[in-house]
Amino acid sequence: MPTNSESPVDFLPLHPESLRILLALRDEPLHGYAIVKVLERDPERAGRVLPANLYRRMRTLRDQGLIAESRAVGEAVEGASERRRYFEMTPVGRAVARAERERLRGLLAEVEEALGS
Amino acid sequence: MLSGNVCAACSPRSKKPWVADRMRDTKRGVRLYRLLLLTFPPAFRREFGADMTELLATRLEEEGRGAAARTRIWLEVLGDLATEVPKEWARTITMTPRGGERMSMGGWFQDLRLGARNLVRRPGFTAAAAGTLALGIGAVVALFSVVHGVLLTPLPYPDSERVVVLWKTDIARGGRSNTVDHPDIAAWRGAAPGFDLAGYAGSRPTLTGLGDPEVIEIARVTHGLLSVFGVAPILGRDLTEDDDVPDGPRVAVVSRDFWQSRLGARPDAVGELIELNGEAWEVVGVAPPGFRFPDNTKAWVPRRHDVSDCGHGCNIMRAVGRLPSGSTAEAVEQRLAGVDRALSEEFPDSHRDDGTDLQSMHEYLVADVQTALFILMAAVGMVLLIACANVANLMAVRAAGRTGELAVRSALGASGGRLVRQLFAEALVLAGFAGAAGLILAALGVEALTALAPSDLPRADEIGLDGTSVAFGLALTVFVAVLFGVMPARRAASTSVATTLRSAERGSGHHRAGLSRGLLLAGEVSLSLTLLLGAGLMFRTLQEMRSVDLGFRPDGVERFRISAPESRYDTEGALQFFDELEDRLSAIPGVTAVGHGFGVPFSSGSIGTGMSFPDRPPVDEPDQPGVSVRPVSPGYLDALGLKLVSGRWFNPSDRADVPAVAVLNEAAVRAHMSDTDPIGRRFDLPMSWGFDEQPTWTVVGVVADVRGRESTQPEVPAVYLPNAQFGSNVVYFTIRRGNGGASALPAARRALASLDPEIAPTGMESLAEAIARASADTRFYLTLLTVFSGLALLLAGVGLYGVVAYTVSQRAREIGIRRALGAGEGNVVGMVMRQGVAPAVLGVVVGLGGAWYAGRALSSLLYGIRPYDPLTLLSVTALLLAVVAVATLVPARRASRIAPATALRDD
Repeated sequence: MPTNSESPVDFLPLHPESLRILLALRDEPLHGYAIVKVLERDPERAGRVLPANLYRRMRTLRDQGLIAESRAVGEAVEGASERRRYFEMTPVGRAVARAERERLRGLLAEVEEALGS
Repeated sequence: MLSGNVCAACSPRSKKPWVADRMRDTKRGVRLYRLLLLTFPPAFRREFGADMTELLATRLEEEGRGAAARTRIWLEVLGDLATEVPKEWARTITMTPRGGERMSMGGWFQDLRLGARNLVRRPGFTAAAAGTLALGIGAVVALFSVVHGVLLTPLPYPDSERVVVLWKTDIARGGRSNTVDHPDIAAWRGAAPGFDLAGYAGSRPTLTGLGDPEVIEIARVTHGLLSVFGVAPILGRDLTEDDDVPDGPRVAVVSRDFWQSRLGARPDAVGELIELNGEAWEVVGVAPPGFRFPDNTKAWVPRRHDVSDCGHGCNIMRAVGRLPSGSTAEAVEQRLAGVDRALSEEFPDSHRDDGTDLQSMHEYLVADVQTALFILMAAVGMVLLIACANVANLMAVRAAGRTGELAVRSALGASGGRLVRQLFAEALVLAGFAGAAGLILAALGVEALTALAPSDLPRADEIGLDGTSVAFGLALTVFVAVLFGVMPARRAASTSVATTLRSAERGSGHHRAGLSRGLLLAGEVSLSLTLLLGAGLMFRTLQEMRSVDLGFRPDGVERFRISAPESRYDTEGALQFFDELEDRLSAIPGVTAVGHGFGVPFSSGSIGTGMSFPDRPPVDEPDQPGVSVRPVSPGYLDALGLKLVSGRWFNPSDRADVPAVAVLNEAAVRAHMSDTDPIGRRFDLPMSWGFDEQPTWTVVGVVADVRGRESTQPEVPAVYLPNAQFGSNVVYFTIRRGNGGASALPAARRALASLDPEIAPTGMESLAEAIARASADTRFYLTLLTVFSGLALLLAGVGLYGVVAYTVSQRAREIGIRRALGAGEGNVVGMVMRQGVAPAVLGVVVGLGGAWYAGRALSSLLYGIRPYDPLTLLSVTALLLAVVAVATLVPARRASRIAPATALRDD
């Protein structure tokens, strides 16, 4: 249920994993496996992105209106009866990601003030 | 001392997994995953199921190389489902039907508390359900700990996935061997930049000068073994290239255990001398804790190898390597192939058709047990499923008994979601109890498993109930709660208040509920049948193994192994020493025969080589027929109880100064001399042990085949040679006692000590013990499968009984009416039993299909019977049907005694 009337700040803090999914979709619509490949560019996380976890997060992001299924692209997968579904970042998602950046900056500033940078 | 083409341990022919296999596995995996996705709420599954399946398929395709990799992917996927499925259900359930509105966490806690109170109020039900589940969870977690420790945890070395074993392959003929020669190692070393390589061979010298003499495991290595594993000495230095030259310094790196137990953990122990086989070796370093490669190794000494002694084709070492960082096994294999081609052009005699394969050290270590552990894991998984089905039935029965209460609460304003959540919370609490008890059972189970496990289970010391296993257990608990909690919860949600009240009034069960109970029962029965068949097949395998004719008489035979150290015994001296010891052992009261030999049944170590015939055209060495060489003493025939088939056996006059003679086994005659009478035929072996010349051997006799390493393996072609003409300085002494006598081993130990107190015997045991050890893994699998299938049978029986008994109590009124209308006891018994027997028969039919899969999966562990052995199949089906009959007959008989008046009283 898209709830576009809410302010981006209402979605914070974002789970780091959800934030990464959001960021993976910043430039172009991607399908599930492509998102996994982007996330796994970080060698620490290679093989750690799992289907159920990923799609539950994507469903939540979608319900929150931060990402949306892309109607523009889509490719027929050979041998598969269904098309791969592509997701893209929505303007709300972009705003939330920026808001999260500000929140993290603020947090980092607090840490640096306490412990030194 | 040792020359010729010796293959100390050639492996059976095997190939790498092919790409087609992987594709088939992927397809199978996708089917399994689709089934697993059924545990998700339908809405989520419909929307994302296809995408998730595709994601998994791509992952299996691209990353699922090798069974270990696929297992890891599957475990991660199962963990993923175990955590996400409950979350998704919790989310679905807490959304009210109109959506959007979420319930507060406070509500959840309230429901959990309520659930706990409900459970505590019915201790009988709770104990039965939680106990059932705890058994299943405990068994799964215990076995998972074994699988985790043995198969999944990386080896305890830095970047251990880069450590590989090198296999020499024969490109033209197929087959591979993990023994290589020295020049191979030197040539491979430069093959790829950054590719570390080392060779090693185990040895068992006698340690003297530090207390009692003791035979210890050491490894004679080329330089660089420690760095292949990415470790370095904690004290002193590693062996270097300068140590590894002919007549180089006698230096040794010792294990930390050895340093602590034998050298007092003194920092100044470096520089001390230890005595191995009477020679002094200087300790130059101490290996890091836990480093014991290749086997429980106490010391590593340089090979100091002379290539002119044993060069190309003298395959007496194994090789391990470390892949350069960022490189792959395939890339290095390609470089090695180039080296192999150059070698085969330059040395066609010894290297023709040579290729090199790399296998990860981890796979190399666990390959033998992988299949068996997966099968056991699947077996406990089935037990858990049966337990879940039982508990789901129990919960459903309870929920059905409470429909009235739920309906009233609903009428008073509780939303459907609220009621469902309450049932679900109860399932969670119950699973929590079960999980806690299950973890305790798992801890006990792990101890029992490690105690029972065959001694050759690799990495057994790394098995334990660690954090991962506990986390797995917890995830499993939640998963289980969903599995058995969802069904009753959903049914409660789907039933309208009016229907419930109406039917509660009439006191009859729902048709749909009865159907799903029946299906659950059928599932339990089919899983039980599958497990029973597995246990039955293992039982028959063990029986077949026991009834195999070994070709010798093991009763009353004892034996031990000794080696006469080269430093104090030349070949003549060793042979004389063995003869003297044989005389002394023969003098022990009760001993009827004594012999010695190498390559004896159920022992470690064998000598393999090719044979050639002077009267036939010469063949290249790789194409020569292979034989196993068994140097023995004249007394060996009687001591072991070998059967002479034709010709003569050896006698004491067959010594080095007379023409060399040999006795073949029947397998060798069949394989290499079936065309003519073998007696009088002559052959050459490209090797000798204690003597410089390589005589031509003349066949003087034929003996019956014996079962060698395992009773299930057929005999290989072998030649027996008089050790007096061959000169092995390592032998097993075999002692035959008369009937019923006490063990001769203590007296044998004294006899040995009186001749040479510095020589330590190893492997002192009866032959029966050695034979039992060879079938230890089969017995281990049999024990576990018996326990699991027994548990399954019990649970299925209890489940069946519970459901039928419940039906009887629900239908008491109806039965009473039938009785009043004239139905006989037999009619009632038949009618009630049908309630249980119908699903059981369906279960048996489905189970026979499952048994087909089980038989196929087990086939590599079976011996002497086919996976679909009709007798086994019939017996386990009969056993299962007997249990079904008892479980349904008891409540049916009770039903038949219901008096007609009951119908009236109940109203």
